Amino acid sequence: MNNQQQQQSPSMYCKSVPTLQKAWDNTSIKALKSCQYLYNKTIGTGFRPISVHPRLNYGTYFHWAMEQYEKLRVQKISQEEALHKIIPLVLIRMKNFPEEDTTYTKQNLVRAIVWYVDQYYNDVAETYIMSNGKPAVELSFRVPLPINSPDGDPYLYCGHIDRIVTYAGLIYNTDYKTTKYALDNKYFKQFSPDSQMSGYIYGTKIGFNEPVAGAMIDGIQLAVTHNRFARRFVLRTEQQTEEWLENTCHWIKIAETAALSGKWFMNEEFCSMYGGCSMRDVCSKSPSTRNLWYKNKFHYDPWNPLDNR
Amino acid sequence: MANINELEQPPVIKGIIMADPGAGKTCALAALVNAGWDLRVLDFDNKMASILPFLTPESRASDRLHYITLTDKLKTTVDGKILCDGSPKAISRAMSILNNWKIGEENLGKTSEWNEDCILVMDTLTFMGNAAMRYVKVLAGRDGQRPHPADWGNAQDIQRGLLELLFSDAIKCNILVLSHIVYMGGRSSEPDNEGKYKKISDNIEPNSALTAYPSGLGRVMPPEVGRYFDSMLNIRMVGSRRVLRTSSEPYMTLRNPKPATVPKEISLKLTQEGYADPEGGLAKYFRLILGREPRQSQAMAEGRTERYNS
Repeated sequence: MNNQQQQQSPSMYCKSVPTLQKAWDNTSIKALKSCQYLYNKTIGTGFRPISVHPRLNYGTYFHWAMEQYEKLRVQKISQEEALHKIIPLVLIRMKNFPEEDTTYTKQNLVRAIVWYVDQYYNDVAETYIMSNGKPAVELSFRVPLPINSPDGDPYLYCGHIDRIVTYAGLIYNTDYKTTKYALDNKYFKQFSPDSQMSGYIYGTKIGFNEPVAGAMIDGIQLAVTHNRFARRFVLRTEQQTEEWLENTCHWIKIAETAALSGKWFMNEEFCSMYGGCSMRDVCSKSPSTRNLWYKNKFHYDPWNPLDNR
Repeated sequence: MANINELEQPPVIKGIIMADPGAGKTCALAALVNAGWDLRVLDFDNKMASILPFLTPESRASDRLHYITLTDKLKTTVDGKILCDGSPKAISRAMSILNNWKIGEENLGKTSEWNEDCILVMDTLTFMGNAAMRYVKVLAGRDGQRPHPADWGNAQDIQRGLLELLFSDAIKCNILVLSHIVYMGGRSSEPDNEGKYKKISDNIEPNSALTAYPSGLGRVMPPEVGRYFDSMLNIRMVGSRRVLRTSSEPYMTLRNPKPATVPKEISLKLTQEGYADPEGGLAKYFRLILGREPRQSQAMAEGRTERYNS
């Protein structure tokens, strides 16, 4: 994100405690839960790793393509014509995408888009049309939490929903998930419990005041020669949603305590997880020398939950 | 630390009744209505009419039996497939109703606000599972086809989610789930190419004896369903009598919260007029477990005594 965009978005920090986020999203909470020290050195202060594996951004191209597709379809443009419009634009956006992996390639993404549209040609899950006539795709929400920040107003929970659909009289928010893994029960188990899904369901219920039944995961398996697709419901009872809310507020209070004391503690158990934390090389050094290593690996690129993506 | 003497029996029953087809699960509910309980039935089986002959005229005239039939419209194709006609609405309707019971002019409010005299009935778990499977298959574009492995998981999640909702503290009224029986052993019926019998479910030990379970979806749900209920009961024929079994047998795990008090068998009796006897069957079970009558029947208790006292 460039400085101009940063200036346009409101600040995510509290006025009275500039190191404390007032607007939170799943990315921020997840980093905080993983390790307070990691959180503070990255999202908390606006830094991100310089090098990120390309596959972490691969899904965003699919999301963008489907957003454009849904918008064109609402304008009664045919599926074939919509694809003809979108595919070249996707390839332009992916112009500099490094193909370091045989799975995460431009060709495979284009195939995934075309096959997805083909798979759900007569999709029974229809995009919800909002009262302003616009399709409910790529919607950002900001909902107040039941705890107040040091500024005196509520903390905010923010999120970005791919699409809201209606199916058989019920409303679901959907999330596209691209993966190279098989779309089996084991894959879908990761979504319950899952803070992101619970947060989306809460945000959709409160932000849009609709009786959302739950979430629908739209799984897209990426393989070298083919794609597979599967849909799975993620349901939450009111108790589960309340539990998620209590949990989220608890973690924000932990961040508040850390920000007020200026002490962000390390969770050494996270250092080796998921192939190794991006901060591990920095944290392995003595605290007084860490800044020397930090600047080589991280650059200023703030993450702001209040950005409209 | 909590004091065990402060533990109280739950004020409501959350139970499952298993029975073979035709054993009288739906008709057994009549005794509860006749005894003054307020029943709200999610009728997936479309068999509510069978209860009518067993209701007393007073029960029929009262407002104590509410139901909604939840079936999907089906159609046949020229190649012999049975498909859903339109969107499958049975399960989505059930999910809406479980949030707020409003059907046309009838508005019974939020299920979470129903009192302890109400009994929410799901009739049956089997057909609810079928509705859930149809719901996911149509969404996946596989209507009329064999379920894909992903469809089983998806439909089971819906069934599990509904059971969790019924079991949760959010619902404070009584719950009864009617279910057929599925018999499962510890191994598959056919050996594989190496002559080995595979474990058919993670929830069942291999080579375990044939056991009766509630008919949840697939092979995963049946052994899981029972854990959501404090009462697991069985209706069966013993000779010419229909009975409600409350304690386990070698091939069927049953339970009730007061095994020392509740008899192992309760007859599902009829009165001389042929109505379900409010002194027996499920009504007796509720009285023994909860230690009370429904509040609205206390006013008519005297009248009932005069009618049935032989």
